[in-house]
Amino acid sequence: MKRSNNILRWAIALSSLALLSACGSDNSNNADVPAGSYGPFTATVTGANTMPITLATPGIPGAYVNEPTVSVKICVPNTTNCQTINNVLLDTGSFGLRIFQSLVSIPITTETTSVPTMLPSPSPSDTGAGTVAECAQFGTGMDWGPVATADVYLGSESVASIAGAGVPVQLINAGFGTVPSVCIAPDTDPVSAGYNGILGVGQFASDCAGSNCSAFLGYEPYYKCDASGCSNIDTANSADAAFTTAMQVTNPATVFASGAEMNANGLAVVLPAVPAGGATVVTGTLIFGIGTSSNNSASGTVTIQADANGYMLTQFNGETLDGFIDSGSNGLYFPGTSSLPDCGDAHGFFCSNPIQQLNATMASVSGSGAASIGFEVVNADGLFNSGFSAFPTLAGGSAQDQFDWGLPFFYGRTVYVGFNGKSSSLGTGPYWAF
Amino acid sequence: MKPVALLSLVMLFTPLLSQASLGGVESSVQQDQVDFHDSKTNFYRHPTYHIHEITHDRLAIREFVTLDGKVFAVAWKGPAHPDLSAILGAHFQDYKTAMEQSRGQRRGRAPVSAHSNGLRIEVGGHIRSIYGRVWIPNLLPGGFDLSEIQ
Repeated sequence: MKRSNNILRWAIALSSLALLSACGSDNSNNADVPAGSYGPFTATVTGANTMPITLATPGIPGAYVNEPTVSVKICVPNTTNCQTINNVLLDTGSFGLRIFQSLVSIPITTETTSVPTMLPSPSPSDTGAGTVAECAQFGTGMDWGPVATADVYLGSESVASIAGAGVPVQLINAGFGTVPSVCIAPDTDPVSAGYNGILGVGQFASDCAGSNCSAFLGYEPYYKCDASGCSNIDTANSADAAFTTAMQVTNPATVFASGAEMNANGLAVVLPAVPAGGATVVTGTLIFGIGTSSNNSASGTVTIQADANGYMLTQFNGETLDGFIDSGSNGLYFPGTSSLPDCGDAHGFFCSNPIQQLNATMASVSGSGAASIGFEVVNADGLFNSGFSAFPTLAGGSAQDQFDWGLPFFYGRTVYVGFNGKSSSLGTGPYWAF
Repeated sequence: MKPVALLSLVMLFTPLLSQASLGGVESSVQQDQVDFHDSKTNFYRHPTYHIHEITHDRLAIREFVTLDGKVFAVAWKGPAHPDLSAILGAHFQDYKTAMEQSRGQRRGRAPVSAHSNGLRIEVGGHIRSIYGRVWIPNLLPGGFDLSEIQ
């Protein structure tokens, strides 16, 4: 246990040294933006249960700021017919792997309520009878496309698979079948989306559950498609009974196969501290399992319990808000105050002058865990003009009752994500700990 | 979309489709509540506006109406977005355009805050639990506090 902590501290200390040495370099003429540094900044943890995290850099087509990415290997289930997809957004705010279908070259099979369809299919609209598709509705943005099963490798040795049949993943394809009217402005291609896929490894196994997915007025996310179009799957209808919860797009980190199943209780996101003015080359580590091996012992942390919807409490500026910690949001997003004016150029972000030192308190929805979090907000126009791409001080406005602790929260921390219903030394999920 | 699915949506939202919603008249909302099957409805009266609330399962839709009967804001919260083409009526295309164009540097799954053709739009949350609100600033009652729209 101690050894792993020492490794972590060592990595973070190295990053801090880099930070100190960078303080002399100036990144901007804007007096309101502190110095940044190109980097590299690293927080490396080794082990078979780890995979590297890389912050997207400006040279990648479509890359945007504060975008954590990983590479994921997918395979035809139980074969060595595999393919590695890079530039996949690491998202602790969603559940399941989604990859643009246009990038998939191995013959994985779509789920169906009747006859299976081999993919890649001859044309996007050539759907087999009953092919399962999903309109994944994120807080903002949507993904549309069929659901297929694949073995998913997370870390060098660990395969995620349900009963040896692979994991349901979504193949993002806005041209598949007929896009339902509720699916507004779905991602169309990797460059405009900014990623080749999304690895959703948040607190839950699936993106809809129980009453969310049945008898829900036709808004449930899953559809069955054939040559004439797509219609909602209604699991309350016996005709659709073949579609089970296990067929939903599934967070692969919750379903490790035998040999790594102990790591299915949660994970940790480790990112180095970076300068307040920004950085470019930043790498971290995603560790699977909590308290299951020497590199994820998780001591000295505070546990923040979440509710069944994945929210905890966040007190800020005299209000109590729904809070969540989301690596897939690229800033801190919360209700603005009079000292946090909206930017003119970068609408939706805060352009405070001078730098704002703020504080908010996270609290468990049940139990006693709570943490006071200090954070800085730097003028977003100034940050964007710096040319850097990793910003721990980027923030913008959100609706009145939510505090979205996006990627800036992760810098300089090890953030544990405890999976729903799974236990570890930190508690029983859903929770966060850091 | 298959004819069956389309038919069910039409049945659910006929009053909204035929009489519009955001920017439309209050009678459409009241009729909507009568016809919205398996849902619960609430009505809240404030000195300067009314709220009609429709809940089904864990989805809640609130429509804000001026005293002279114009729908000036809608808000929703739940596991999925409702069919916004019905709820936003004539403003749906503006909403769609805004969602396609508004992202800028707010990326990944960041909440959206957008202006579009006289509309203000805020959408956020995360998968399984999302919210949205859309309002028409020109129709807001005097002294109205935007934090009421939720």
